[in-house]
Amino acid sequence: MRQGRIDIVGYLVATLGVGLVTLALWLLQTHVDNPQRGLLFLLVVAAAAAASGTRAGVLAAVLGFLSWNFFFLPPILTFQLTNSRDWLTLFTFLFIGTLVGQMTGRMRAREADARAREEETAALYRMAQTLNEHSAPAGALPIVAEQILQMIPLRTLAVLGLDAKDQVALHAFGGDASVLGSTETERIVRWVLAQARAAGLPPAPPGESIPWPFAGSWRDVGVDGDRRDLYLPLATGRRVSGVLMALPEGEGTLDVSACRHLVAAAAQISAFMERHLLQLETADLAARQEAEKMRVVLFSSLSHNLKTPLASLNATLGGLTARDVEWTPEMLRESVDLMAEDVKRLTLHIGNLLDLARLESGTWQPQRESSDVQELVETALRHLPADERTRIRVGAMAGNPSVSVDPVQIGQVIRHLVENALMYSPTGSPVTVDATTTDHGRVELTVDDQGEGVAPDERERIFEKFYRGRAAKKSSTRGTGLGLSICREIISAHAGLLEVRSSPSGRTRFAVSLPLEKGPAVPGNAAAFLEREGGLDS
Amino acid sequence: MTGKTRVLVVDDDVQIRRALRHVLAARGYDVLLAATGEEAVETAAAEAPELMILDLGLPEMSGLDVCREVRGWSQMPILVLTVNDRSQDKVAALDLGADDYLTKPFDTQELLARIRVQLRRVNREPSPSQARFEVGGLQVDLAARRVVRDNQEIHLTPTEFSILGYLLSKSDRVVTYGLLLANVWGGGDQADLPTLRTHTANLRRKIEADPEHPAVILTEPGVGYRLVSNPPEL
Repeated sequence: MRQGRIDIVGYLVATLGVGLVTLALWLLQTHVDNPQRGLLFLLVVAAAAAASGTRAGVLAAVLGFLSWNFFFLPPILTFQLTNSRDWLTLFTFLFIGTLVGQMTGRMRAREADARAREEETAALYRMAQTLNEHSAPAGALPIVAEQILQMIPLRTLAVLGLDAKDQVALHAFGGDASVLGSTETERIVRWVLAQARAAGLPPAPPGESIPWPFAGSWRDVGVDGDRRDLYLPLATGRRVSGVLMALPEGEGTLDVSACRHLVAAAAQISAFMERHLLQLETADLAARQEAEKMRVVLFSSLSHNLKTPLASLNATLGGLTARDVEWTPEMLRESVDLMAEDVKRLTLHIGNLLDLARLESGTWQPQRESSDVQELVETALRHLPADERTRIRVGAMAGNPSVSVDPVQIGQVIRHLVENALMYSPTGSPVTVDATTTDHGRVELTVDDQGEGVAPDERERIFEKFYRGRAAKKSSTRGTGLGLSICREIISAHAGLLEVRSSPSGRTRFAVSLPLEKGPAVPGNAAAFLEREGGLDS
Repeated sequence: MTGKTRVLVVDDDVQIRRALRHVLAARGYDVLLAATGEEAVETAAAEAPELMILDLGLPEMSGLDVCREVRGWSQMPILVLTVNDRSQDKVAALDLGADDYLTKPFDTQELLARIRVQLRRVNREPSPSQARFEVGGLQVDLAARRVVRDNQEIHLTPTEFSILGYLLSKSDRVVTYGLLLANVWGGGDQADLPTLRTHTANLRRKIEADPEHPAVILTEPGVGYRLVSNPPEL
C-alpha cells in the first residue's frame, strides 16, 4: 500500500510539475529561447525521481522535454528536433531523471530494508518475550505461531515433533491446519528430525548474518520436488526437539526475507524447547533421586524394624541355650517374658508390613457394610486392656450416625488412634472419642488426648511410612512407624480423610472424616426390597 | 579393681537392653544400661565400666559421636552393634577407635566370646614398647625385624613387616583398611586397597600355617583385618 502511494506522488509531481513549469514559463515568456529556463524542468525531473524513483524521473524527463520542445523551442508549437542542442537537452533530462531515480530507489530500498530489519527485530523481541513468559510449550507455542503469522503472510505455520509413542504430532499451529497430516508431511518431518537439516529452504542470501541451517533438497528427502512449504529443524547442538513448518499464502514460494524471519524464529523456539527439555530432565532426575532416597530410607527402616526384635529375641534365646549358666526358675521366667514381648513386637511389625503391602498392591478392597459409628468404636475399644479402657471417654455421638465401611479395617484404625493417644499422653490422663455429623454429609470421628500435641511441621510427616515423630523417639515407646500410614491408606480407600489437628484444649486431635451412609432414600430401599423378593422366589 | 566386671549396654531399644542385661547378668557381669548417647557418655564417665556395647543407631547423639567422645578420655573396649551389615557407620566407628563390631541379629555366644576377647586383651595390653610377640606359632621381634616359625626364619618385605607390626599392635581388634593404609603407607595416596590385599596375601602365604584358611590374619569383609592372638588349635 505504502509503496503504491509514493509512486502516485512521483507521477503526480512529474505531470503537475511539468504542467506548472510550462504554464509559468509560457506566461512569463520573454526570452523564449533562453536555454537556462529549461533548467526549471530539470528541477521537476529531479523532484519526481526523488519522490518515486527512476520511472517517475523518466516520465518527468520525457514530459519536460516534450513541453520544452513544443512550447519554447522554435519552431514553437511543433515537435521538431532541429539541432544537436535539442538532442543534448533531451538526453540531459533523461540522464538526470534516471540517475536521481536510481539513487532514490537505492536509498529507498535501503530504508525499506532497515525498516524491515527493525520490524523483524521488534517481532523477534515480542516472540522472545512470549517465550520468556511461558515455561511450557503448550502455552507459548500457539502465541508464537500467531506472532509469526502477523509478521509473514502464511497459510499455515506449525510446530511438529514426535510424541511419546514416536508418532509425528502437532505441538502448535497457526492458520490452516488442514494441509498437515499427509503422509508426505510426516515423511519430511521425520527426515528433518533425523537429519537436523532444513527442507525447502533457499540458500542463504549473500552476507547473511544469522546462522543459516543446512538444507536438503526435496530429492534428498524423498518426496516430489514440486513443493512450496518450508521445514526448519528446531535444533540446539545435536538434539532436534521439533520442526517448524511454514506454507506461504498464495501460489509462490517463500521469499528470502520471509525465510530469514522463519530461520530467526526457529532459533528462538529451539532455545526455548531446549530450556523446557532441560527443565523436564532436571525435574525428572530430582524425582528419581527422591524416589531412590525414599527406597533407601524405607529399606533401612524395614530392616531395622525387623532385625531389632529379632536381635533381642535371639540374644535371650542364645543366652538360654548355652549350658554355661545354671538358670533359676525366676531367670527362666524372665527369659520367657522377654521373648514373648519380642515375638509380640515381631508379629506387630510383620502384620503391619503385610497390611501395608496389601493396601499398596490394591488387593485389599474394603468389604463395606452398613455400620453404626458407635458400635464400631465400642467394638474397637473392647480389645484394649481393661486398665487402659478406664481412661477412655466416649462422647455422645449425636444421632448415632452410620457409615458404609469395612468394619474390620475401620475398627483397626480406631483402635490404632486410641492406642496412639494412650501411648503419647500422660499416664492416667483421659482420651476422648467422639463423632459428629457435619453439614456436608460426612461423619467426623475424633480422638483427643492430653499429650504434648504434634508440632505443625510434623502434622503431615507423621503419616509417612516409617516416620516416627519426635515424641515417639523421645519416649522410646514401641511403634513401627507404619501404623498411621496404614490408617491413612485405609481411610483413603473409604473416600475419607485422616488428619491431625490441635484439639480445642491445645492438645492433639486425630480426626477421621468419612462419607455418611445415604439416608433411607426410597429407590435404594425399593431396590433392596426387590432383591430380597427375587431371592425368595428363586 | 575388685568385684564384677561392669559392662555398659547402650541401645535405644528397651527390649535389646533388657535381653542383654538378662544374658550378661547371668554370666556374672554387672550390667549398666543407657538408652541415649548422652546417657552413655555420662555413665561411661561416671562409672568407668570395663567395656561398652554400643548400638550405632541411636536417635539424637549418634553412636559415632559417643565413640568419638569416649575415646577422648578412655581406652575401654567398645563393641559396636549395627543393624545394617553394609553400613559405613561401623567402618567409621572402627576408624574412630571402636574395637570390634557385631551385626544384629547376632549370636549370643559370639557376643559373649567377643566380650571375653576384649576384656582379656585389655588385661594383657602390650606396652607401646613391646617388641616381641608370639602368635599362632610365630615369634615376631619387631625391634630386630625378625619373624621365626619352628626355628626357621621367615623373610618378609618391609611392607609386609609393617602390616604385620601394625596388626600386632592392634591384635584382637578390627583394623579397617583405611587405618592400615594410613599407618603402613603414611596416609598418602601411594597405595590402594588392591595393593594392600596383594601384600596381605603375600604375608599370609609366608606366616600362615595354612594360607588357604588363614588363622592369624582374618578378613572382615568390607571392613578390614583382624589379627587373632590366640588362633584356635587346628
